[in-house]
Amino acid sequence: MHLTEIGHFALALALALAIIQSIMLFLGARSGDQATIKLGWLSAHLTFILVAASFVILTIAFVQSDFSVALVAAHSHSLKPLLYKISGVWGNHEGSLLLWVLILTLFGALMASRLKRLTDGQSTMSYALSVQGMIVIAFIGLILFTSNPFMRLTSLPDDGNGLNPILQDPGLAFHPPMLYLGYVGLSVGFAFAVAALIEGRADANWAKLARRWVLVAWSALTAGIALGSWWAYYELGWGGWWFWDPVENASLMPWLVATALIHSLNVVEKRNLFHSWTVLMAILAFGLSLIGTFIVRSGLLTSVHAFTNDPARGLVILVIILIAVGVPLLLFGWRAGTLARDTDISSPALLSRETALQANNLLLVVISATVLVGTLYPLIIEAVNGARISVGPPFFEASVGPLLGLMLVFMPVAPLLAWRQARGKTITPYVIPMLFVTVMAGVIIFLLIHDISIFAMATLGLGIWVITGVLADIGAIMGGRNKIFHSGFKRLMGASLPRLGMNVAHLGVAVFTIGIAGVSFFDSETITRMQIGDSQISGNNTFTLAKVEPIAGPNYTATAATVIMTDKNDNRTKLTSEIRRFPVARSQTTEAAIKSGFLGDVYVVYGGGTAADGFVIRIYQKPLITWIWGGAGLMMLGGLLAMGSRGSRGSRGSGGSHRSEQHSDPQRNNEPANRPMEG
Amino acid sequence: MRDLSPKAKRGIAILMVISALGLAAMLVLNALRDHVVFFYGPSDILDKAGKGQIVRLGGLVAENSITSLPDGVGFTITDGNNAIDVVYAGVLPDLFREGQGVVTEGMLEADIFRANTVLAKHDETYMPAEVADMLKDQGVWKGQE
Repeated sequence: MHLTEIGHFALALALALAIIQSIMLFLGARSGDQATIKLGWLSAHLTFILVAASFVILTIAFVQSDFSVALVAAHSHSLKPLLYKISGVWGNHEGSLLLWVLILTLFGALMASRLKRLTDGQSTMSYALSVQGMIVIAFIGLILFTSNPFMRLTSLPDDGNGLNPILQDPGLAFHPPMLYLGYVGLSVGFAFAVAALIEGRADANWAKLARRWVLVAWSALTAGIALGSWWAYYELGWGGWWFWDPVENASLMPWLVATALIHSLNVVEKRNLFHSWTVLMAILAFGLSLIGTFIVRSGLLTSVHAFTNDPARGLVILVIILIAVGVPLLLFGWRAGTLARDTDISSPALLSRETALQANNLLLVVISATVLVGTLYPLIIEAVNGARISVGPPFFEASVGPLLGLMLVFMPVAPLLAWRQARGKTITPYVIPMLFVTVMAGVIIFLLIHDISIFAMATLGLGIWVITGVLADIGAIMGGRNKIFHSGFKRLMGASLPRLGMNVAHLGVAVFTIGIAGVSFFDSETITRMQIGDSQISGNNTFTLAKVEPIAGPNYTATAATVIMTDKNDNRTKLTSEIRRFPVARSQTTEAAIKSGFLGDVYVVYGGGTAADGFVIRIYQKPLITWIWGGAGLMMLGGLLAMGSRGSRGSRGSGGSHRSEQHSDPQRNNEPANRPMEG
Repeated sequence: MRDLSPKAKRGIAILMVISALGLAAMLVLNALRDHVVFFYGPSDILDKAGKGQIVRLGGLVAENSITSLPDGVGFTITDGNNAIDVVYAGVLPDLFREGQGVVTEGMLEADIFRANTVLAKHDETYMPAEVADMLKDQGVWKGQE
């Protein structure tokens, strides 16, 4: 069968088309010649189709277990379930690179579709798509010259090596594509930033063009990180959800910078300020994404996620990263001064939304830098005096924790501040009830749980404080104290999607924070050795070991321990945890049994043993851990909602309701300043 | 507050930046002083690790050394020249195997290492970087360069 060679050829052709895309759009953007631009966006579409074809062909090779393809032989096995044959495509270096390029060209094709319909800002979009093409060229080149997934084997093996069993899991089937969607999506923001530097313009229109792309990437990145965390939680079998592992940190840094970018883009769009800072954030966010993806392959840092690596590849990747980050930064140094045009002459007051967002950006970048220092410190120390050290969770909790706390202190107030100049007397009617509710909630929590530590109290309090901020802003949307009962619901329905999205995302942060408080300060762990029929009490429940028996899976054999959990009301839940042995990969995994609930999880793991010595059973109580995923879900949803168009939906065209809104709504006090930018 | 000159505003902005960076630097330095964990191999841990200090010990799990103890599991970490007995109260991770690289975290009690964490790895062919370096130092590295 020659399908594999067709896949290889399609990829080479895609490289050629990406070159055409890049050159034509650059020339087209300069000259404004429609035919040249059209050739450019057509190439972007074709590049995507060709890369998609080669990806499908590789997937077919995996599904059909075509072991003449070296990659399939090395990473698949004929007995593997179909889902994992497919996810095996990106469970390795070459295939994951191809997935990366597939998503990159998908974004290219989407940009091309947008460019087609664009009348205003066509040159910006063309430059951006040209830059996107250059990234495509670099990565297809990397695949073709160092990591070809279509390599054939000369001698046909009997069967494949199998996928690393720990990767054989639905969580890990979907985590990389989602994470890549985020990482790669940030390339669009990056492309817009470089376009802005080329054109010497990053104005409100530019921000409006870039906004949705950054939001979709941010949402995907949020989901990708959360999926990875969820996977680690239930699959690694020790109940942790975040380990401050270098690879995790590498995904957190672009997320933090992208969060800063979302907020500063808002200032560019609404107030025509922060141009060069925003461009810098867009460059850094993608730069950190590149580092985030490829630190996994470098083997530079000890991590649970490392793929086996090849130094030659690492060098090429390093060169690509250096060019991709270095050239735009040089360009930035040269051109940043020209970016600000038509800036509002009156600079914002100290107490204003601008200042608050400045503080937000500053803190997010500082937190990101702190994570970077902690991640790289072991490398630096080893280079300096040869000592091998590790910097683990205690470091990050002590350094990042307080900075995040500081952010949460300011976060609920910032949305209440007006642009340009906020007045104390318009925000105090909101802030005083917020403080009151937070303090009352704190008192109630203290009365309920006496021996609560100060850190637990502070974390819970901050979560509640952020919720009150969301409620306050919803109240403001609904017309404030005077009109909330009169026309509040109508106003809420008519509110602009970005503002609702912001509130949903901020609510997500609050829920997430409360989840962290629960699982960090109120968790417990019990390890026991049990005979069949023995019982153990943990939390409010009794756990009885019912049976331990061998079972057979599709490509593994397992020992399954069944524990019956009985609660106070005598409700029984059966929890079965397995140790799976994979003969092909000669390794084993543990499947935890998890009973999830609104207030948290009970997490049971079978740790092996014999009838003579007893069976090891570990029982974890993980209060509120579900709120961590729920919070991340809300953040993602908020990001997606915020992609909606600006301006109120329901009240568009009914000027009267707008006018009356201005007095009660602290955001709208200086309406004329942002009106022209909206809609 | 309304009538601050642009110069004063710039001053305040700079002050904000400096205080944020200062705060972060303070937190980082403080955390680095208290929470950095040193990595040792079986050959240098006895000399270098302080009493009651949390450190990491890495090396290869010695063949036929895993034993079941009343308070957990015991195994031996070796670098080919020296070996240290380890006691671990938890359940060993899935990819823990005799003859393979391992990193544990805990503290030395007399000359037994009491581990409270055994780091899990994704990939059975993967060798922790510190362990590989250490084995090279000890001259017992068998893998490719």
